[in-house]
Amino acid sequence: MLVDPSGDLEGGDELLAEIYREFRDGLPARLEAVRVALEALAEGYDSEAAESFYRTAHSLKGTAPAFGAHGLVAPATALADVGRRWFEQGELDAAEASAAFEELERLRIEVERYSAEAEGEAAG
Amino acid sequence: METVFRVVLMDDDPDLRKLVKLTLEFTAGWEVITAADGVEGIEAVRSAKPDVAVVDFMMPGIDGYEVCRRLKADPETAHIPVVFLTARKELDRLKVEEVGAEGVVMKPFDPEHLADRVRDLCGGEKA
Repeated sequence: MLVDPSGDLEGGDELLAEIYREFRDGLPARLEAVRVALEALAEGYDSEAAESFYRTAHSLKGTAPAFGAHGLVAPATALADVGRRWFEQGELDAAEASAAFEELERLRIEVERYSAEAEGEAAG
Repeated sequence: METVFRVVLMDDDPDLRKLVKLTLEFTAGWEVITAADGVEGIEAVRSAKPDVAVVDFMMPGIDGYEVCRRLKADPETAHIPVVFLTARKELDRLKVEEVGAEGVVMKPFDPEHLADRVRDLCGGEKA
C-alpha cells in the first residue's frame, strides 16, 4: 500500500480512510461499466461503447496501484490494452471479446479479494 | 508572509484526484486545485495562476498534450510548468518535448513522493 490509510498523514487520517472507502465502494460500479460496454461490443462494434470500455479499464489500471490494489492491475491492463486497440481500429473479433470476458472475470475476482482484505484491515 | 505552492491537478479519475490532493496538501503543504478534464483544468490554470499544472494524459475531451499546447500558447499561462502523469506505454517523449512540458511522472506513482518528483521537475522553485 503506497499510502497507509491507518494513519501517517498527520490530521488527515480520517479523510484518507474515507477516500480509500470511496475507492473500494466504487469498484463494483467500475466493473459494471466495463461489463456493460463489453456486452454491447460483443453484440456489434460501437465506438461509444469502445471508448467507455477503454477509458474505464484504463482509469482503473492507473488508479488501483495508488490504493494498494495491485492485484487489479494485470486484468485492468489487459482490458485497457485490448480496449485501446478496438477504439483506435474501430473493430473487434469474437475471439478477442471472449478473451476480454475472461479478463473481466479475473478482474471481478481480484476486486472481491481486495475489498475483503480492505474491509478486514478497516475492521482492525 | 509565507507563500503557499499552488498546483492545478487535472485527472478524470475522482478517487485518484482526491487521494493526490489530500496527500499533497498534508505531506507537502501545497494548495491543490483539482479539475476533472482538460477544459476545466485550463480555466483553473488561467484563474488560479498556479506554480505548476499536473496533467493526466488520458482525459475525455482534450488530452494532456492539447492542454499543454494551449497553456504554452497563452502568454498568461506559458510560463507555468506542466508535468504530465502517464503510464509508460502511452508516453511519447517527442510529443512531450514538442508541446513544451517540463516533465513526466509515470503511473503508478507513490502519492507521498509526488511532491518531490514535481518539485524536481520544476527545478525546485518555491516548492
